[in-house]
Amino acid sequence: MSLMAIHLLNGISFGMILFLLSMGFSLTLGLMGILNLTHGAMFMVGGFIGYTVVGAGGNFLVAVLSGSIAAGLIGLVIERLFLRRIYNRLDDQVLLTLGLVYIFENVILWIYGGHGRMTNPPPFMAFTVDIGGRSFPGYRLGVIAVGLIAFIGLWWLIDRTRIGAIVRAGMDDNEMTRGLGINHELIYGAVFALGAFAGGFSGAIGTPMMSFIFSMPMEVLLYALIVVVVGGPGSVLGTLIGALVIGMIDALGKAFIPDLASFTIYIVLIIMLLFRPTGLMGRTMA
Amino acid sequence: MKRISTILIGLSLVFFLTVLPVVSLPSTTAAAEPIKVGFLACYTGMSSLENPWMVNAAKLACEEFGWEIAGRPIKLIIEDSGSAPATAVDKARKMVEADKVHVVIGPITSHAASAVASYLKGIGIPFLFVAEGRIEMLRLGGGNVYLPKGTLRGRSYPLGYYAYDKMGARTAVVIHDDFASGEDFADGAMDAFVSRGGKIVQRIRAPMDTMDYGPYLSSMKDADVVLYWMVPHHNVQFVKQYYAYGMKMPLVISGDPTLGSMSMKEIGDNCLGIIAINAYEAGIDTSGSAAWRDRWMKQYGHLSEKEGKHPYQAEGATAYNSVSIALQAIKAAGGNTSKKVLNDTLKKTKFETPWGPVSFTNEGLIIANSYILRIIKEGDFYRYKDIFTYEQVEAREPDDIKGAAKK
Repeated sequence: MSLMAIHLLNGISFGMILFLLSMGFSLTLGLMGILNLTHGAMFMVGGFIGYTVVGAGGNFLVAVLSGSIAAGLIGLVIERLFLRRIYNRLDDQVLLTLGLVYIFENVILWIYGGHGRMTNPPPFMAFTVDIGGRSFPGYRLGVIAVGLIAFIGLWWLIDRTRIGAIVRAGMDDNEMTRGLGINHELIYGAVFALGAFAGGFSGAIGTPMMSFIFSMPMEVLLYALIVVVVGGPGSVLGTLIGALVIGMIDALGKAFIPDLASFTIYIVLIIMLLFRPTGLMGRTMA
Repeated sequence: MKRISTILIGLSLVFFLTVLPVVSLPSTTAAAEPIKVGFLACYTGMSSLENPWMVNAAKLACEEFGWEIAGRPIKLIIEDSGSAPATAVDKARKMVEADKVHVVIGPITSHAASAVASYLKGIGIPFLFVAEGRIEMLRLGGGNVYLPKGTLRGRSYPLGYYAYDKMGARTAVVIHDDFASGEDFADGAMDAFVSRGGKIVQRIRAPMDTMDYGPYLSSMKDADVVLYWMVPHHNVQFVKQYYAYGMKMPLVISGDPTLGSMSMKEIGDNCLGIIAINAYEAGIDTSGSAAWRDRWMKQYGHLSEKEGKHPYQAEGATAYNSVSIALQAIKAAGGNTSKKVLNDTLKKTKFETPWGPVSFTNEGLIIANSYILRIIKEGDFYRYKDIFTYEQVEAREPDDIKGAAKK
């Protein structure tokens, strides 16, 4: 029983990292219709900057904030300089953002080298919890808490505030919102920066859980893509559900059918694409 | 008078430029024909980070021969293999057909090396790999392929014995990346451990794209020891997560470069006490190894400032050894660089290295010391220290582990 509880906690904690990672991707895809392949790179940038701040003796919370803000600013620059010119041109978005991924990878390789980097948990989270005689890292419990807080905050922002309503309305009827005097470009820029901020935040939060390396952007992007397919783009609740489903299946698959662990999440992906391509709670663009 | 002088000068020039070279060139050319050593480096691609150590090590080996053997200058021809099979074969072809090299060494990536071995099969030029290879690589060649570091499967055999005999382990959990090298490592260590009477209670193959080892660690059974193999950047995460989950079973691994000094630094004190094995390791405390360390430091110092001033990597020692062995063979052959003579010499000669004597089996597999290592900390650095030696082990079959304890 205690072992099962640990497996579930493993799945939830990994799922929360996936939620934080995928939320930004889901926002830009679902609300702006932009396929931003640099999102995995934002995760990486947030992680490496967090790692650098911690390595320089900085506070872990400062490191998380630094990584998030840096990713958000980079996202803003990408949107203002490049993506705003190619809205509604999916092929161009793919080519552009894929090219940017290679640039980010090589810049990180140049700065940090090709070895895995990973921080230690902050001292106040560096403990283990005994669950039925087995140890579970305290930091993972912290990740679950942070994930829940982030979910409530994002859900409230997107689904319950005027800003969220403007964003959703902009996606559904762009011309109407412009007609109402809404500064559409400002909203797009802000949403894109928020998505990149979320990517950087998840990376910085993830550094004590996984090693960071220059070649990781496409790997993590694949997880984000699967989560968004399962949960549905543009939905905060859907992204949370998708992330938890994938986190659970990943953890339980590794624990109980390790030889098939490589395939389990892809099976879910195939099922979703076949039977519910809009995702569990997905929005569709007007 | 002026005209006569001009004619005389002109005739002299014609004489020097045409007649003299014809008379003197044959002997001069024969004496000075360079010994051409082709070195397939990895300036680009997946192994580019190890490249500086390897290239410098190749140069150091040549330096120690004074860049000359039997009156012939040594010419080190370095090409970028791109860490990829197609590029490596293209560059090997260029070395063979255009540069006319006498021996080919490298690259560090085994898939690229396998392709080069295949290409050189019909040509017969000696080809020395610079990392642990797969036994299949010897089969791909035509008696001209050499594995100066043996196979990963063979290398890990003594580790299985050590875990049982010296660590007193009777049960083991095996976990490794689901990758050819991980399979080889696990197979070798497991075979040796089981042959002594040990029991493998669990074997886990983690997919290469694993982002979280937590579920594997939570489901890990209790045992006396954990035998594991991960690619370098997974190593950092695996070991850190291992201790974050409160695991206490001793960790045993194949060693540098899988878990190199940069990864050790990243892991921190948790890596202290990890047991490993290697044939060539700069941290080994033999007199030859210590002298090599001094030479390296004098020549290159701390190579990589941004990586934390790590002075040397296993890739350096291995590349040095491969080049040095090739040059020793040429020297033993009296400077004769014909393919047949070189291949015969490589198979019949016992070579001296900073890490003990090395020879090859008839099929090109190494016979060398296998050092059991433990990670220690010296000042700000982590490094391997040898704690036990299996002497003159042929790195493949368990029956060949016949060395007695040296320490």
